[in-house]
Amino acid sequence: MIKPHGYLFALPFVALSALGAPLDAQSYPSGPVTIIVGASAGGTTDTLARVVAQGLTEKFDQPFVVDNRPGAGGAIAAQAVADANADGRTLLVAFTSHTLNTALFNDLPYDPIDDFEPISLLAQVSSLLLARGNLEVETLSEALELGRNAPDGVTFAVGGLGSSLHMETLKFLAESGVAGIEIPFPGTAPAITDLLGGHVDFMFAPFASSVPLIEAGSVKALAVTSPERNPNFPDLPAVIEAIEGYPITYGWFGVLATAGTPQEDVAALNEAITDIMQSERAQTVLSDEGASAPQMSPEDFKAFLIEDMAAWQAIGENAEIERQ
Amino acid sequence: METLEFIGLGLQTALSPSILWYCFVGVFLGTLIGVLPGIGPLAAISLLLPVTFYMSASEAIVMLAGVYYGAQYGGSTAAILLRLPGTASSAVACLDGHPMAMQGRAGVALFITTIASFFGAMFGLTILILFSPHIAQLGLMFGSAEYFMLMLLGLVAACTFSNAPLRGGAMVVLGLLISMIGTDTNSGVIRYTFGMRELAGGLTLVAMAMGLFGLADIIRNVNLIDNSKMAKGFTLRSMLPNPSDWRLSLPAMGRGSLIGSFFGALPGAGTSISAYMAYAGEKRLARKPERFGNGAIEGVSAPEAANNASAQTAFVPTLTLGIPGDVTMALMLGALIMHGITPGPQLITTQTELFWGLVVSFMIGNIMLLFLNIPMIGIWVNILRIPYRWLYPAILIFIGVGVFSVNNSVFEIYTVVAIGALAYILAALRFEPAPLLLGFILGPLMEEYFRRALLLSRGNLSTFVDRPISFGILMTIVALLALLALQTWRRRSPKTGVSSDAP
Amino acid sequence: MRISQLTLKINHDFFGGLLLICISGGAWYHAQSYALGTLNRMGPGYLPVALSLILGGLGMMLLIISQFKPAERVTLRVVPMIIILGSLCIFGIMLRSAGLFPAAFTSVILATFADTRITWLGRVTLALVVSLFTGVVFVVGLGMSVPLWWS
Repeated sequence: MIKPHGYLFALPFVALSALGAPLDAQSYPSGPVTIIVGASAGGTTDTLARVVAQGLTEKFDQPFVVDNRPGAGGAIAAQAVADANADGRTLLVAFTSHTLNTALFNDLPYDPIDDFEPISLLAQVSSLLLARGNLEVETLSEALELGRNAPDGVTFAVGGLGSSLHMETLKFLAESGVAGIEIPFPGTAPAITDLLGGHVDFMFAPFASSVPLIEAGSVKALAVTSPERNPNFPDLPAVIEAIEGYPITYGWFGVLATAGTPQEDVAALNEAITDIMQSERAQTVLSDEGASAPQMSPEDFKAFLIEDMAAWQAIGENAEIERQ
Repeated sequence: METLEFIGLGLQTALSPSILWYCFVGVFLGTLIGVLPGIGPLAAISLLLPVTFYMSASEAIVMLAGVYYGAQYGGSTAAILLRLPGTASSAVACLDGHPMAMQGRAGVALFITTIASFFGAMFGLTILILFSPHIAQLGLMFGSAEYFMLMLLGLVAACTFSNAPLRGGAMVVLGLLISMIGTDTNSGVIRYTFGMRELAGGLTLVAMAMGLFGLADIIRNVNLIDNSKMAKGFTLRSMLPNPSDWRLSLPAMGRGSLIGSFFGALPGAGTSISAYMAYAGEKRLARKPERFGNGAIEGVSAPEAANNASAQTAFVPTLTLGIPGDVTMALMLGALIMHGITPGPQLITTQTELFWGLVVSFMIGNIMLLFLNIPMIGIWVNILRIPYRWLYPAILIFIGVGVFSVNNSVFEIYTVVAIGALAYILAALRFEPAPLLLGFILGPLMEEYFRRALLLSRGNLSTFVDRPISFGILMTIVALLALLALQTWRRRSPKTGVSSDAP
Repeated sequence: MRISQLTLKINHDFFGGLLLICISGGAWYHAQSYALGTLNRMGPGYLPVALSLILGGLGMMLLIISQFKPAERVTLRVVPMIIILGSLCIFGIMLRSAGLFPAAFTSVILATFADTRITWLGRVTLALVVSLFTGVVFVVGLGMSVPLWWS
């Protein structure tokens, strides 16, 4: 299963504030709205989707219902939205795999950009490089030293093949020259379990599930993948400090509608979602996930998606991933 | 004692009127959802999640948890009465619970189920209170090699389900093969999907369980059974187990609870495996194993206790490590995070009141469940008095709605049709469905753990013997096989000639 | 059993063995496109091939054993099977497009044809009760995301 954590090349985005387009709250939506989520209930994507659904329900005075359709890296959910009526009453909460899938599959039955009307970016996240608690390294440079010289290589837990964290691992191994063996797990949770138990050496992990373990001293945090240090962990270096030219990637979560959805509906949704993401509840979720929520107009979000897709395809080709 | 102080602290939280109310709402909904075939706690909790936005964190978790363990109580009701398991763990209840219902002992089966559920849950909770930090650590010691060995133990146990080892073995292998459908975790290659993208995640457990037991059973019985198994009036007496039922059930509940507590605490093992293990254990211990499958009461009480014990101890890795054991627990974790509580090793110390309040409310919830469920038995048993021709179309729709609700996908309905066709043909040829389902559950896990263990040991098979826990389990398997061989030999030696269908 | 005469005994084991062999053959054939790998580093095709061979072997054993057992009548209830599975298929086809209520109603009506004693009045009553019940419980009560009616 592909997990909702992802990365993409950092691009110099100017976070524009939401468009102040005039909106007629009365006209949209004409009935209940379904928010289709391509991930199982309980994960980050689902949590964000539910926060957004709750906020939109209050703002538009119509029920916004979350409909989980996990499977095939979100492709089943995306297809359902691509095929829906373009009346803004079917929305997709997508995650990194939406663009990443183009690097993995040959024949997606939809176009991740052209078949959709991008509405709003919800959040972008980076990850942490963790080591098991009883591994004799304390810093990133010691880890690199160990990884480059270990006779049998070192092991990297991968939480879900084809996920953005898998791509991060591939990228790290290629850039650092560490002799790492990828150990695939069906998701982030079992991968962290094995890291905690000391069965694997390293792992790229999302913030939310790692922070409590780091604070308890059960695992060691070595680096962050973001371009700058994380304000909550000022002592933790960024990977790019040790590996020059390390390509920075983020994971993202965003809302899209079916292509052809009226522009004024898109603008209204964008404005409402931007508001919701500033709310206390959304901020709690974001800070737990170590995520930021740059505000973007629908146009910016579309440009973001296009560049993101190109970035994944480049990484995929670089790592010689065979498309299926 | 320190624990008592904490329980006192927990009581203060748990006995507040709002917590008591939400605990009751949770267990009540859980019971209903458990009884409805197909709709499981997962669907119910995800539907209830938005409602909890308006509650405090402890109210929300108490209610959602109530739904979760409450559903374990009702889960076997449909399996016993209609041979319609809503989950893989309640599929075990079909094996002996349904024959009991056919013999007119549905009331007894449901009564003992409730008692076993209560017993198991309370046992699991005791373990949770006494050892939570320690069990989490024990669970972590299990690496891929150990998990693989545990699964192998499960498969060896599965061969004892079937009274015909060759056919049972064939069903296990077929189940393993069917489990290969979908994306291979290790290579990402998609196998046996025949170009259907929906199959990339594999067949769902609910569709398998419903198709194998529910659907095949309808085809077999329709137009043959007229009025159901027991048209007799229902009395309180017919519900109470007789002394020999008690004598057989109580120790079985104890063993089941032990097995369930252990497997529940292992992250990733889940409630279904513990139910199967408990069943296989009982059959192995029984003096007359041939009673199993024909309404042996231990075959109902042990798995049911195991189920509920593991539903309680499943909270251990979730709360103390922040690692969910299954999807439902992942949802609970999401609910905690949404309320600003981060589960993890420090939860017990930083959120002392919340943790102990939860534990004590679980206890209260289980007591509520006991008093909620016993009076309901009479109502459920009356379902059996409805003529079968009125009942099966309703069951059919329940199957359809149930499998649809798993992923909100119509495709699941077509999978259950295909599984039902295969299951009926297999049943017509006298193959048993239970070993097939267990093979299906264990297949992907075994493959995954085996390959990961070998990746971690750099391809060295000796890892399974070098690691002490793994070696210990291996020895248990060897002992079990030896016992099996010995028993077979003893039973056959007085007879001459080829015994029926041993390999 | 006389040597000069070759008689096949038809019984449950015979067809069971045949079925297992057919399934294992199909599984083996499809597994050919997946990389095999070695025991230490298994490819995605390793277990499917191994399992289909084991299943084929077990099927063969069952087939052989069947000839040492008496012949038996093997019945397959084809008509009930088609009616039951067909009506569930119709339910799936109608569920999203027509809504839960019409889908449940139609498929209950179809399913009742598997029983020969039910009357038309019974059919319609049953279909109404079942579809109302599922609609109320699952859509209204549990908020399942599927339409009740077509729109």
